[in-house]
Amino acid sequence: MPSIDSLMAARVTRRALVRGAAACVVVTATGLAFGVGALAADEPRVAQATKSEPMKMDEPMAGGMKRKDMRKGDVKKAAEKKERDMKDMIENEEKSMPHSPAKK
Amino acid sequence: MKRRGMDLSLAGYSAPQIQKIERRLFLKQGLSLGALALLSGCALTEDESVQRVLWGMSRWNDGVQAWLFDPNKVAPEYPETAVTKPFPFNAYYREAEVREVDPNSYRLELAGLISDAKPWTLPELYALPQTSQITRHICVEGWSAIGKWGGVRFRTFLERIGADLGAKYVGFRCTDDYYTSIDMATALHPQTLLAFNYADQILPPKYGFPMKLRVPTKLGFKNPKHIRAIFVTNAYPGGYWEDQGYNWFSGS
Repeated sequence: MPSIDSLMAARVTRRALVRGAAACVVVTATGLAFGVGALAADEPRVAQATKSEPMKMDEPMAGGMKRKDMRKGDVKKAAEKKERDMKDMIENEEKSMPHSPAKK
Repeated sequence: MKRRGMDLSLAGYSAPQIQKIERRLFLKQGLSLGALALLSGCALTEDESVQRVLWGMSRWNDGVQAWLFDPNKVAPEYPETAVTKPFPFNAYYREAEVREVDPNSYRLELAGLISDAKPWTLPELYALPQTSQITRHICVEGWSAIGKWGGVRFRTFLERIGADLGAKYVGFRCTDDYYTSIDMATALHPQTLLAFNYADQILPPKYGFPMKLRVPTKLGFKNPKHIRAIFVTNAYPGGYWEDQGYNWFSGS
């Protein structure tokens, strides 16, 4: 039979171990929380550094080549019209090429 | 009545004085007519037939420039110390609005008179033989700057994709909606590069990631950035600024 003293000692040891483990859990959880938080805080900063603003199409153009009434969106409209106008011609030219593989 | 009134108003003047006044009036009226003619001249330039003549002259001018173009004459190259720092950003939008391109999903599209028109990934393009040059970028706005660009000779790329090198034009479409085109002789010039690098680094977005055409024999607006598609054609493709009246050839 174990003595009362040894039982008490074992209980104290268990408590100390449990407290130690709990402290470890708290410390780890806190560290993880701060760490993840720090990482999460970093991500948007990095993303913001490389993320560009959407182009405001109705704003006046930048640069020195423009006329006063030109808007940024004019380039997109002109590009779409040009692509439509040239589409048939380009496709006909593609058909005229020898050994032209099918496009992916 | 008016004439009578005028006669009355001149009643107190001698004959030589009246002659002087009449001369002055004639000159004034002449100037007014001149001003009117100038104004009508402004209106005339909006007229469709005049526009056609002007465009015809511009295209003729392109032909003369193409005829004068020497495919063996190279633009001056410079030492590293001459590079302009920082190299200026220039576009029709602000630097903060530069379009982002995802390098992993990016594919260079090919069309027109090309026998192997498969799309190209960036690693495939980077694997092509590379060269570099330090040349002067000259802007039509009146400024210039020297930069170092690296990439594949455009002639090498056109040969690799089986482009019809006898075609007249090479056109470019860009992710920022810009578009332009060049003559085949310039496309085959030894200094014309499909550039992937600037200052020995991957081309930064502000300078045209993932690639730009570097043409040191032409003005800056003939150097498209953010290229997403290239096509070879015999149909005149123009360009954004060229269609607004800027000279298409714009080169030496």
